[in-house]
Amino acid sequence: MKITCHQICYTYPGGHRPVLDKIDQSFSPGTTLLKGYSGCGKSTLLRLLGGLIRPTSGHIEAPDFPPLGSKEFLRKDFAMVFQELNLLPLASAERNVSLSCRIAGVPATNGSEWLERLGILEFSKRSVETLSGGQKQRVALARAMAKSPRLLLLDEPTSGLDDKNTEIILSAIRRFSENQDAICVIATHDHRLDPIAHELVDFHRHLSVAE
Amino acid sequence: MNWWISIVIYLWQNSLRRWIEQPLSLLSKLLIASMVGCLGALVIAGAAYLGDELDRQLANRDALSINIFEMVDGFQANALISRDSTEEQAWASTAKESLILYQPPIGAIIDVKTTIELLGLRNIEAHGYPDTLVLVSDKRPAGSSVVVQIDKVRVEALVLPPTEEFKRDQTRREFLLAPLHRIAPLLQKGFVRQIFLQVGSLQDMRRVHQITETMQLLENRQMNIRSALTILERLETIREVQGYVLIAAALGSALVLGLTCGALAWMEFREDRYLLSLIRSFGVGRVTLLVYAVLENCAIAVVGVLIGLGLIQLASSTLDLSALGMQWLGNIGLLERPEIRWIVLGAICGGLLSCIPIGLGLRKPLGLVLK
Repeated sequence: MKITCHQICYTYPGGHRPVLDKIDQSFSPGTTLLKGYSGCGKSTLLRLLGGLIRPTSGHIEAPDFPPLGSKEFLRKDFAMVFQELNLLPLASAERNVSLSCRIAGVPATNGSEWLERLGILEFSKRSVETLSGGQKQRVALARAMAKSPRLLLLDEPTSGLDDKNTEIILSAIRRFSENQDAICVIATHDHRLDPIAHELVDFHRHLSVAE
Repeated sequence: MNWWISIVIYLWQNSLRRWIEQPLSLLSKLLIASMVGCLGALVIAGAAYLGDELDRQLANRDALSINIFEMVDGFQANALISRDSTEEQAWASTAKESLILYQPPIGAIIDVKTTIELLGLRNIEAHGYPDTLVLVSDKRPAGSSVVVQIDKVRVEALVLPPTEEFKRDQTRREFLLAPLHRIAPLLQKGFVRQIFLQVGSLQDMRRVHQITETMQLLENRQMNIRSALTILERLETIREVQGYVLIAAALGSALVLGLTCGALAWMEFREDRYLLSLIRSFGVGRVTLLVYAVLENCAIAVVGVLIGLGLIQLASSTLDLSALGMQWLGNIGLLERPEIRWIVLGAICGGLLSCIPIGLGLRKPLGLVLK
């Protein structure tokens, strides 16, 4: 199982310069950290890998997956934690997780297990609006991991979190990588995540990024 | 429970909470829909009232009656009298009611100095009179006898009042009615035949005109037909235009509803776009979300229009609208009229139209919405 980027370029609609220019990179099962300064295109690459946007040129090869961005792919094989978390508003933590599991066709017990592992089972009945930033981050991660995706994309999963919360998230990612044959790509500039990486890509050095 | 039911339930709960938190959005949609419903209903009610009133007036004034006057000369007289039985039957089968009178060139003298019309009727008993000479009059005592002079011959006539059939003709107050066979000799030199027909429809009226024209052309008959055909045909055109007006009112309502609800739906969608994109990122298809939006917008538009129709009905049944000159609104039975379905259909179209911007918005790539 592998995802390979071939010479991909991306320019945002209305933009004059490409954010990514002729990127070649492969992603294998295990945890890959994408590191680089803010605005260098890490999040854009994650969106391209998930098929949430299409490259302006070049292509992404993922032979073991359904077409990237397709309903089938999004439903069963893909999960992403965005920088803004994007939890379902006006819903409890439990509902956020169970709804995602139901759509993916995985048992709802998966959701409860991950909520417990991430230490938020006791808050799971509460509306996500009433949770703290760290708790919301853990709910978003539980929702992503509970559906057992084969491609897990995390965009700055620890930004603004204290060491305790970061440690909980690190152990969850570690556990996911160990038990799941999945590609996990994390865009971050947080060095606390370095120990869990199977591969570390310095986005600025290794990839050809538009200046 | 199927996953898409869970999604739809979640979206409905979300909408309900949004409406509770921001009731202005829902109220403005309902208000616009109800106003459009009110206006549409008024247009339809007005057009329906005009149509009904037109039909009523046409029926009251015998607009579907036809008078044919035929001048028959001595050469044609015999032939026409002899074959006229079949022709009269033909006229009778074309019209709902028919009355054919034969008037010789001479009249009858009554009270020594007064000349009254002498009219012949082929089957006089079928028209409610005995088979004898009858002085039809509402001025003399019924059942009495009167002596009249026809072509120097003095005969006795029975006085009887005019039947309903003859009462319609306001111009004749007194005339002598005779069985056709008794005045046949007087018709040999020519006569005037008066045909009064009451047809049931405009189509029958056209048919009578066609028959008359054919007789004029092929048999060289001198016939003069009088009817309201030209006016009625114009009125029919106006009724057709009214039909288009009704459709235009319904489509206009749909368009106004679509544009205004569409603008509001677009503003709401800009708030909800993030949520819908998030749900799409779980693998929920655009169609599922669009169906939800269609149902929501159509439901709001239809409920709004029904509120508007209800308000109009309430106003027409409880308020005294005569001061506004709109008392007709109370008599029209607005909600029972089939045209109202056009307004409801317009509301559904409006709801569908309002989903176009949402449909376009859902095409935007997820990665450009979610951050």
